[in-house]
Amino acid sequence: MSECILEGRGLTRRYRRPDGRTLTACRRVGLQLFPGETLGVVGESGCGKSTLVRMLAQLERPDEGELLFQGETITGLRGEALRRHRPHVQMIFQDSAAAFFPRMRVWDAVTEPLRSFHPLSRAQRREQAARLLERVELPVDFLDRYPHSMSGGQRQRLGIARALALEPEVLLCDEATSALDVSTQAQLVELLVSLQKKQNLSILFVCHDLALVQSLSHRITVMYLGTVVESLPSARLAADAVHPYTQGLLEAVFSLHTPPGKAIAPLSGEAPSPTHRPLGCPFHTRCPRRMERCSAEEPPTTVVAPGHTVACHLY
Amino acid sequence: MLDIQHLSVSYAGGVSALSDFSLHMERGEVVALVGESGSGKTTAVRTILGLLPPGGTVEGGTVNFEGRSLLDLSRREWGRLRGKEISVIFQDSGAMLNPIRTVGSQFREYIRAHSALSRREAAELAGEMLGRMGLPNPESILASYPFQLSGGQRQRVGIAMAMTFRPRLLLADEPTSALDVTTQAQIVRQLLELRDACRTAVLLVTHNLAVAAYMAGHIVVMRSGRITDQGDREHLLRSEEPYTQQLLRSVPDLGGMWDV
Ligand SMILES: Nc1ncnc2c1ncn2[C@@H]1O[C@H](COP(=O)(O)OP(=O)(O)OP(=O)(O)O)[C@@H](O)[C@H]1O
Ligand SMILES: Nc1ncnc2c1ncn2[C@@H]1O[C@H](COP(=O)(O)OP(=O)(O)OP(=O)(O)O)[C@@H](O)[C@H]1O
Ligand code: SF4
Ligand SMILES: [Mg+2]
Ligand SMILES: [Mg+2]
Repeated sequence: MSECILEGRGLTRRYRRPDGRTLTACRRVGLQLFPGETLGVVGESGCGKSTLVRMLAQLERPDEGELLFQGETITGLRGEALRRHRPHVQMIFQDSAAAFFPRMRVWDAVTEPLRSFHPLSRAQRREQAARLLERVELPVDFLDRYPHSMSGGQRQRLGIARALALEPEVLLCDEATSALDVSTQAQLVELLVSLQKKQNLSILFVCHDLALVQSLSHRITVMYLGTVVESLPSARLAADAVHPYTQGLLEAVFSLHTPPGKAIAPLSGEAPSPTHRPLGCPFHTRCPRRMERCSAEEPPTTVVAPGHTVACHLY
Repeated sequence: MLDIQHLSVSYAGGVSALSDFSLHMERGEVVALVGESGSGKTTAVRTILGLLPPGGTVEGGTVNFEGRSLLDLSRREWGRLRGKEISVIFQDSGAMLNPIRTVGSQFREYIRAHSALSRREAAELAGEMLGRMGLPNPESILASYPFQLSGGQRQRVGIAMAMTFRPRLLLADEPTSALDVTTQAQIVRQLLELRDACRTAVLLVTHNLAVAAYMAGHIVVMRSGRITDQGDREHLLRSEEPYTQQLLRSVPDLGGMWDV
């Protein structure tokens, strides 16, 4: 495979909680993103996905571990070197446009990131903005509107346009479509897929909708309590996922054909607190297949098939 | 218990956001509102709650809750009703927390504003509600500032607050779209348990058609401020209405739909 574009090795991030305890939001997370590929990241609320994204975007520094961009370490970048690196990796949030200044018109807002890199005249920026709108399939007459007068889906396209302004190689999407209705979501994903093909963009896509993640990702990484528990080609998610947590996730998905009377069985057992990480396997307090050694030894990550790794004593 | 007839709402500049919207709900009933972005779902919820943003005007129609018109209540009357008998969960309920106060102090204040509980009792109740939302270690959550929580943790604080007083009517506008599927399942179960225990009527706005189909006895499809289709789950799955069919087709299924 070609050289990986963004890589995290052993990324660990700890926070201090108000009660003085230490919480490990990410623990030795390893992750590789290849050119032109989409990696989906899923996992329970609070398992560290946004923390991971913030580290990859260099908005937060890892306490341990290393970050590499095109094979070169970028963990220690600071000041001007970090500023020059920023255009390569851009982010879209759940409502990126909520971050737009309310009094800024669309043309100004989408080209705002350009200001600190390229001195452009107002006319040049408007021209750039028009090109960006076209790329995200928004009508050019939006240039002089205000973001808040647009629908959620349109605003999210604006967020993408702004992220693309600096021609990044990597786009990090943290629940970028969660706020949108299904058809708008579908259109936005289609847009991302076509942008990816045209520009060989690499995308990291964090999202709770397993079917959606699967539909646009090449690979999927499943996190639980700050660690990666399974990684596999997304086409094989439903059929081949073996980690008991991944299987639990798949069972919790509602489908249009779930009978209304069917009992819903969310994972049983208490979710462990990240300030009190259980010894051994992080999932053992809720795992239906737990064995003796699961509460004592942390399972190593093993390769079970090409491109498919899992951290569980059963494999 | 809730009866809406021919409701029309517009925003400044003449934007019509809701036209001729009618809806009837009984106690213990779950009704889902689905439809594309901008179709007026949130406008409907806000109108029921008397919380239209500035510029929003009710052009016509009636909204009655247990025989009382909600369209002309005084602030004092709303103060007694809202948050207690009628509660709401917004998609970004978590974002509405005050960033410079701990979650616990806001939750306690909310409880004490609507009850005669002592500080300690309020703290206990808050902890119990958070536990039901599947949040481990509620004390640590209560001691946190909102920025110290993940998006889904904040959202569950909002949901816990809305369910605290076992409201008679719960308006839930995209309550679970920030939650992973197992947490979502847990919240759906809590909502249904509340419905079963207290016969709470739940108006659920969601873009997750599968959740709507699972929870709701009646599903209302909206587009451009109008109701285009409604009925139970079977009706929708077999509907001939083109927009309903388009919505159903956009639901991603495990198996993939784009050629990536
Ligand atoms: N504060 C406002 N001022 C002006 N127009 C508004 C305002 N809020 C909403 N609108 C407009 O009213 C219409 C209905 O919006 P509403 O928010 O009710 O839709 P929705 O169905 O909740 O959409 P979504 O799924 O995106 O949340 C839209 O055309 C929207 O642009
Ligand atoms: N600034 C902070 N201070 C203390 N704890 C934090 C901070 N930010 C995050 N956390 C904690 O770190 C853990 C991971 O949070 P993170 O936001 O990465 O989760 P997530 O996987 O993105 O969850 P969600 O799906 O709910 O968005 C959570 O337990 C959260 O409470
Ligand atoms: S290691 Fe043990 S507890 Fe952990 S997932 Fe595997 S079987 Fe379950
Ligand atoms: Mg998050
Ligand atoms: Mg809405």
